[in-house]
Amino acid sequence: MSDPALWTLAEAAAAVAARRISSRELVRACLARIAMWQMETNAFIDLREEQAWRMAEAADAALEGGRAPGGGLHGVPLAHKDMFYRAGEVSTCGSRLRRAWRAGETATVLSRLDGAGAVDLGTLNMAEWAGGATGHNMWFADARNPWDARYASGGSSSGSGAAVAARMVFGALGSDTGGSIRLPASMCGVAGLKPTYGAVSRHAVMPRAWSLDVVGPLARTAADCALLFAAIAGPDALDPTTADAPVFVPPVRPDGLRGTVIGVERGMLDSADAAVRPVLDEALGVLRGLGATLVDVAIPDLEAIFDHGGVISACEAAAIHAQAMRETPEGFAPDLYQRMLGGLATPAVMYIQALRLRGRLITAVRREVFGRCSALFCPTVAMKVPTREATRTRTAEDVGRVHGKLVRLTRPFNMLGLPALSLPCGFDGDGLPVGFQLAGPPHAEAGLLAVGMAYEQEAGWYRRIPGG
Amino acid sequence: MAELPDGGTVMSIGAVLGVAIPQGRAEAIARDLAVLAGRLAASSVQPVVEDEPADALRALR
Repeated sequence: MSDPALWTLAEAAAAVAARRISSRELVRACLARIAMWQMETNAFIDLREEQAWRMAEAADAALEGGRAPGGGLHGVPLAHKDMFYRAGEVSTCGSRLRRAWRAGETATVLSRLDGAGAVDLGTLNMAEWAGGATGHNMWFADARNPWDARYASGGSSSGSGAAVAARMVFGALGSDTGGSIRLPASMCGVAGLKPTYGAVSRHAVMPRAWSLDVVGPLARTAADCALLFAAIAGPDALDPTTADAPVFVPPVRPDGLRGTVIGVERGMLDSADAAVRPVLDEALGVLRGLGATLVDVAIPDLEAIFDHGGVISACEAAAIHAQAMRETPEGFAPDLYQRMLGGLATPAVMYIQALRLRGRLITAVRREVFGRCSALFCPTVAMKVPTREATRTRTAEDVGRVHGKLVRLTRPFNMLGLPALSLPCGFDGDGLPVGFQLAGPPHAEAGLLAVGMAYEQEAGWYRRIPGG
Repeated sequence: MAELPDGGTVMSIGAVLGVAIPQGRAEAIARDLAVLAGRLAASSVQPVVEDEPADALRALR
């Protein structure tokens, strides 16, 4: 493959480390892809070429001077959802209200990526305040699916999914409160890791619902996600919820999956539309062919998990934005504003009960599901990728109808705080990607990524590229 | 069964918080909350006196 922009992140990083290519050459290749795909996808909000050239030159100089850090990201161009603050730079959060807002400090995750020698190409499109599952944005225009621009990219990390899929960048950070990493990963055909709650610092990251929010990578493969996760994971004194985060070491791709027990969440799988079910069954066949043992499992109290997660999300989002809703209601998209009114009116006791039940629900799932398997398989989205037109929402009721369906199989893992990896596993009849999730017990990211690495090597879907 | 909230209740909460909630939207929110509360009350999993939010962090260790 001659165009280096089409390499995986791992391949690009290895080539830089071996000095077969410079960071500047990778930046040039990515800029060529951006020139080709930005109009089609609207993935970038702010392309920062000057910053990228500066960082790439520094990376190349460090390599030449023998000062390059280890870790597998040195000199690799990335870009991130526009909600990770960089001191002195605009961070729009997808909102009209923050079109010119400059951050006062830098997110720990960006500092860690900078320290690893990664290059930051700019900020990526997202749902307004990370409050949507489709990729629509009325202030910065929709992010569009690179497989077919008529279709939704998924959200809220919409630009991250589109940019990685179109090979404009080698990887991107997203955030996930109810599915916002996994939905665009699935709908754009890339890998996306929602880490365990508390595994990655949220310091200087825009909050959507702090009890559920996690930061994680979207990349071309599970192996690439592992490299990104290794750079950002771990305790941060600036975010006390990370106190128990273990040090993560990227796994080695296993030679088959013999001895691995994968639970199949039968109810979730059976909820998949006929249009995507055969693709999911084929993925299970690949896992079985690799030697995995498949057993049926059921998440106990799944409906309650979903409902309580929705209560926490709605109430925390409304609390975060209550002042702006009071003072500048015109600063919100009408459908988002209307939906957040529901959070304002939800009784405090209902919210607190959801928080109180969380430990009990997590404990039950650890015992009843992960007592029987090391990873749980289910679809990421139970339906075909919808068109942007079919998912354009104007009222709160529209939002509930559209977004509720999309997050049905992702939100439970936010409520449970558990890690979940979405991987591409084929295409629907319209030629749009289908994805599945592998969820695990707390801090089981290495195990999930290892299964994902074995799967993707065998299935090879990551080699398919939009337009090519 | 206690009387379910109506749009007026929701509008009053909005007023307390300084946000005007239109009547139609308030009625829809009241309906949704009543349905949700009914589902949660019927769920087999309920908190006991000792349950508290910090239990979640312990359960994730």
